[in-house]
Amino acid sequence: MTRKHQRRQFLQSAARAAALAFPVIIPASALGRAGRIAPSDRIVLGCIGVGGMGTGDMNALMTIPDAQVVAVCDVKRTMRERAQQLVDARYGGAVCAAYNDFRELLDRPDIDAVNIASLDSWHVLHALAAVRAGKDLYVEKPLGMSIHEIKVLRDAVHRYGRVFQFGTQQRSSQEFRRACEIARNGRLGKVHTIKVGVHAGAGERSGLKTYAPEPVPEWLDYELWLGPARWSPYTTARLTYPHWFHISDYSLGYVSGWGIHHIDIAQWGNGTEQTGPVEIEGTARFPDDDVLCDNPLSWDTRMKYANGVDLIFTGSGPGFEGVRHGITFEGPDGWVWVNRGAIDAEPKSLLKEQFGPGEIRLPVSNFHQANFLECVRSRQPTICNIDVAVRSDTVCQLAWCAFQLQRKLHWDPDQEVFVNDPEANGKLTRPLRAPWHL
Amino acid sequence: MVTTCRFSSRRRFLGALALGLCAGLLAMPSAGAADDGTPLRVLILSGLNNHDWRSTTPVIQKMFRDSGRFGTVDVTDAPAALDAGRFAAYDVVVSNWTPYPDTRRTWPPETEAAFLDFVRGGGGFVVIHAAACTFQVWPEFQQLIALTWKENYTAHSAYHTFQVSVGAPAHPIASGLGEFLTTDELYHNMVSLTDHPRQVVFTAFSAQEQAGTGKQEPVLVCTEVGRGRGVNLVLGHDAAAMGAGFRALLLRSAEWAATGMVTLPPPAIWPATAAALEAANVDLDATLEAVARYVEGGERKPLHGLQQLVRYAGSEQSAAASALRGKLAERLAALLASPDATPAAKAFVCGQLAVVATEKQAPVLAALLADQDLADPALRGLALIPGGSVDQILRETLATASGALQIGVVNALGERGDEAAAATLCKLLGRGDEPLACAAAGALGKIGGDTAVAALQQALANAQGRLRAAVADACLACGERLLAQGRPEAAAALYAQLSGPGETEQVRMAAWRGAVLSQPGQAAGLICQALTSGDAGRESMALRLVPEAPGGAAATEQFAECLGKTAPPLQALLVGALAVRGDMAARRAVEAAAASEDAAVRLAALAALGAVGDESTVKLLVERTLAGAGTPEGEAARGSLLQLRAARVDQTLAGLLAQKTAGDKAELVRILAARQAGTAVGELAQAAEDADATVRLESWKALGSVARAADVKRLLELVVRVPEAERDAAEQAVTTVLKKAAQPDVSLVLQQLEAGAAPAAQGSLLRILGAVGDDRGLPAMRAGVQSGDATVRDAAVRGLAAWPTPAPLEDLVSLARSAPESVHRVLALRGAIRLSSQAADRTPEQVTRLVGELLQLAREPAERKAVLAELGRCSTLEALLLARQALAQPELATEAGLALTQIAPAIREAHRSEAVSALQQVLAAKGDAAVHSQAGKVLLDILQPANLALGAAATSPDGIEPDGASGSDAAAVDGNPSTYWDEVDNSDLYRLKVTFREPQDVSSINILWHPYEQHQAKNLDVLCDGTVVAEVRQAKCFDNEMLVTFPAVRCTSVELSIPGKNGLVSPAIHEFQIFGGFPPNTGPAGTK
Repeated sequence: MTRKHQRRQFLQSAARAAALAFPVIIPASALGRAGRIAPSDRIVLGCIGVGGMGTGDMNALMTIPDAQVVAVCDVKRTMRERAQQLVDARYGGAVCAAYNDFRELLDRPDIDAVNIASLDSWHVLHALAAVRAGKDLYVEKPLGMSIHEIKVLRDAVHRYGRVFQFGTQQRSSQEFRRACEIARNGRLGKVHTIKVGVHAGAGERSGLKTYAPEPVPEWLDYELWLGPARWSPYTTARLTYPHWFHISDYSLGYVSGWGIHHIDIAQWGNGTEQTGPVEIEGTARFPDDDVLCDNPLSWDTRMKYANGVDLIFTGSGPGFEGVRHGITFEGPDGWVWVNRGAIDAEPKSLLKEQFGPGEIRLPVSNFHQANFLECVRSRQPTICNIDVAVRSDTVCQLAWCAFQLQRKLHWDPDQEVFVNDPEANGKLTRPLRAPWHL
Repeated sequence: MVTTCRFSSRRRFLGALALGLCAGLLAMPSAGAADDGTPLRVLILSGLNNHDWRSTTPVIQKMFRDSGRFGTVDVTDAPAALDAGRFAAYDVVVSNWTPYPDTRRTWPPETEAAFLDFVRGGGGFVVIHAAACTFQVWPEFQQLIALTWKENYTAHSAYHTFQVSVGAPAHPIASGLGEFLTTDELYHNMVSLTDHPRQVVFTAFSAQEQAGTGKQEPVLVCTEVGRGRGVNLVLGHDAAAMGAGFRALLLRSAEWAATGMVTLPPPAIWPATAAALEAANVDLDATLEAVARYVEGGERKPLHGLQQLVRYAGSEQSAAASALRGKLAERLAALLASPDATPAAKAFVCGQLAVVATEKQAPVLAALLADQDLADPALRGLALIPGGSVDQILRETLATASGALQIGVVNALGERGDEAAAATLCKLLGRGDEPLACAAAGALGKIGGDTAVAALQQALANAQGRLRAAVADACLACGERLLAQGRPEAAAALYAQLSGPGETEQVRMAAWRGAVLSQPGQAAGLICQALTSGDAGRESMALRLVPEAPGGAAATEQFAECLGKTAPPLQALLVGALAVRGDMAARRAVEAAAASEDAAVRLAALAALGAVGDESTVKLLVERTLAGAGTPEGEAARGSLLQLRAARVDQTLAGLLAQKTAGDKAELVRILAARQAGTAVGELAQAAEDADATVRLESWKALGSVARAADVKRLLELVVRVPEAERDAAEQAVTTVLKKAAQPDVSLVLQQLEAGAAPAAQGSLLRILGAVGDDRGLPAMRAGVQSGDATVRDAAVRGLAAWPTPAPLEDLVSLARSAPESVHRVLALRGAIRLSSQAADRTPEQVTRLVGELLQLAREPAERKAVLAELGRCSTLEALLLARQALAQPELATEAGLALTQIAPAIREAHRSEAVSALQQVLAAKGDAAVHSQAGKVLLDILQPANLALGAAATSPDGIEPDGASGSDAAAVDGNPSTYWDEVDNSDLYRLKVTFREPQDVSSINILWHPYEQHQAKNLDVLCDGTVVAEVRQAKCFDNEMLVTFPAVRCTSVELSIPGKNGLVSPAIHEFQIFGGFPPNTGPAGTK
């Protein structure tokens, strides 16, 4: 489905300006109150999805004095009660409400913003509902299950003027920012290749070997867990983390689940945050050893950007190592490689490079959640705002399309469709189970 | 496409000549049988093989039976009993049989004679994989098979997926086939024991990273003997290796061997790509039959098979894929229509059909919509099929459906943007069914158009709760579409309706934003109005719109004016929004805000000036930086100073230097450095000779960071007169500047040296030359070494010792030998050791000599160890001997042992016995476990001792069941590293026992573990005939292998006794190898 985005030119040019702008951060202490003012003068938060990742996010938010978590939501009673206890213990007293149904949490007018860390296949629906309820939102990665649905979310975030932060927290780590500044300021010469290597995570599948239908446990709202995914009978393995990451009904696997972290940095360092590649080729190895898992065991993709840069994006798995894990920017004058907590370059002197005001300085954020809350107050774009998030997520999903079609695909990053390719454009949507819709 | 590759007699003649065969062949009629298509007769030799013939022979048999070309397909397990009569009953004999490792002639002479008569008379013979390792002293047999194994020379790669290439495209076996992928082990370095002509028809590249040779290896080789033909098919290690490519090669080889031509068509799916490889190995009929029986929780292997086929067919990568696509769509549709398929099967197939379906299959899916259990999967499938007929089906369904299906259909129509459905959808808005009406509103929002807009507007008047939110959202979406269509008035009307008090705050805010967007000319004014409206929602939305609002500088000025009308804290936020807007038209207003009485506004303004200020802002920011050092305002001002972009900012800043006191001056110098103020080098150079020491030091730092090659001359002039206190800083600065160039130019430094300078300055210049390390500076360094001045000499030696290229290697060796100062000897030696690894242009012998000399000169253990590390790279016998000497010294044993494990394999061809003996010495030394293990591995590789476990019986007397994807007990001793033995997790004791047919001398075992550590035992006992011969405790695996040696013992069984738990989930063993006489006894050179 093509839709012209002329009306967004206004927004896009502005977002581009924001992305390239100076690291203007309004110091937190300078921020007063505007917009929705919570009675307590803190930003009031609800957390949808409080499993491992969601609890981590929630704990990070609770370290910020500016924030007050008042509600948690999870379709697993055990999870939501555990999270509720954590919140109550943090603030002292029974202050946290616990919901099974996210719609009830979103109905609360006192909640300013939500953290969304649900099942991948739920992210966009939860986010859309939050936006339409007027909440600002921090959404865990990956963003969506189809390129169409993340575009719908982007429209809605702009429509309602919400502040959106994407859970690609590497943007708030200095080593990644530094690598991107080295690449973008021509210190490597004109960058010609970006290599992105991640694990495909195949080894992290559960060892469970039976998938017989089982009765749904009393602590679980299974219908609401499945949500938009096709109906399948309950079995323990389906809900085991990170096993479900490898089932295509609930996730695009590590291609976007982990790939997005590094792809987002590649986009940042390539200066292509508001656009994307123009050519995509790739293959993936799919499992036949595990009866539920059908996401790639490993993959190998090559993409080309209009600026001439080649992006090599690989997921290592059994028998395939791919490129060095992390992100490597390569140019005629050297390379810089970065991964969590580690940065390296050749020549080494690049690591000490200083950048003057005439050069590109990327916005500084040293705490992803704090950056979100600052922007909730200032109403300015976050370090990984919706426009940037959609573009990064799209790159991962383009790889996914290439695995299905196994031929070179031509992408038009302006229109965000494949060029004269109805077959490939058919891969941009994914039906949702009724009654769920975008 | 059918390939008929009949050789005309002329081509046959040429082919025969090419093969160098005797021309007498010409006179003979076409040999072999049945080129009229009569079914061929094949006999498969089986019953003995060092590979798993029990599983592979049935696979081969089935391939022939299913081929359509072969009628009689017989198997014999006793080939030695064959006679002329038996051979005569067949057109081709296929051997999956070998008595290997026995390579003698084991057939009775009558059988041999009958076999040769069969072949010479026109019979065909095909050997598969290890069947070529047979009858090595029977010349006629070797002529027929062309290639065989040579012990300790021929080997194979790891079991992996590789590409097979066509070597002789015109050969009937290859004709019509292209390159393909297969998963197998690839033999390499096979040898011919005769000079009989042969033709290599297929080859494969043997990758070194897969333990291969790095060159092309033969995969299929053809010969002719008499009137008969032979084929050596190198592939086929196990049943899993016998995929589509193997099948095609085998059947076509057998047909060619039998008849001299190939009529079999190429397979429908040719495994040219990874997806095709997967799909080609799936049997469509059998898969669909199994899928149709699928129940939830049941065997899903067939589902994966179908997925592989669909993935390949859906990929459109070849004509074959497209053909399969159509066929699959029909077959899947048939399955969906079949009353015999289970509901679970149909639910799964709906999703698969969607990938390959066209509109033709839509009715089959539509028929399933009536089935409550299948409605959702069928609808999902339909939704993915493009085309008007599907839209039509969906609209018809909408009229009759109810409940979830109806909502699903509404959603699908919405996503498809089906305008023809709009009128029906409009009616659903008012039905009183909230979930349905919400879905309809969403769909109308996606479809748009005047009908939809009118209905939505009407619905808005009455809707409540969730429906109202859904309708409002749909209206907002329609508004955006109207704007995109260039109908701002219509959009504005819609937004006006959504701004009423009956709407939620978020809808009103969104509508206001829409209204602003629909009047771009008035956007700035409207935003300013909102900012002063006191309405929190609008203020919030307005702040968000400030950076992106159109109108350029005029709009910015309006916002700037508005700044004065707002109060803190909103004022601070507006300042921040102006900073994001980044337009200098806001400069004056933000400068004024920097003097605000409100602290938050001041802070925000100082932080924003970096984005909206210019050179005229410098003075203000410098003042606030210096006055506010250490405070948030000071930091914000400093941050802005670093950001200011305007052209003359650096000059303005540099101009302020002269007016400042020492402390402030130093801070300004730091700011200029951080700004990379290249135009301020002059001022900074001046400051480098400032009266204040701190300013001087900071200035040198800044110069190193800011200056460029063009400034070097000026900096060198400063260097020769720099005071001692800043000498280091000055040298460092100049070095840094010189090294910024891709090709550092040291000519100015050399000129300065030639011009003459005091010894201290000479020292500086030499140190700079040393740090830059350009070879053009070497003559000056060498002269420095000879200087009478100690400072100069020291600088020269240090510079040479740190030299980055190997050019001064000889200088350093000479200095290490005879420099007067001992510290210089040490420095030179270390430098020489470092550079010895870079001397790429030297022969191994030269490097060995050099390293030998360094080893003599080195005194400290650390230095000697470093030299030994270099020694490992020398592939010479002398290096081996040097390392053996070092092995005797306990403090060097580890490095020496490691060097030996590198040297020994490199010289194994030329100096086998010395290499073996050195490795034995390492093993006897019992040093570092990693070295020991590595030496064992290398020695195993060189000696290739017979693995006694092959052919022996493996049992597991622990009563624990196999686990997961593991094979049987025999999987640990089958010679196939891709299969493994593994049992149920977390048991107390695991046992694996190997029993020989007769007693054997055993002295070591090697275990190839599963690559995951939790499946590698650290502790185990080795028992021979029930007696413990080795206890392994807290062992570490290297490359997943574990070699255990013990005194030789004669026994009939070897058992592993492995205690479970303590970090071991379960032991998983890919190969359990048992050796006698390995490692061989340590020779006389062994250590004491």
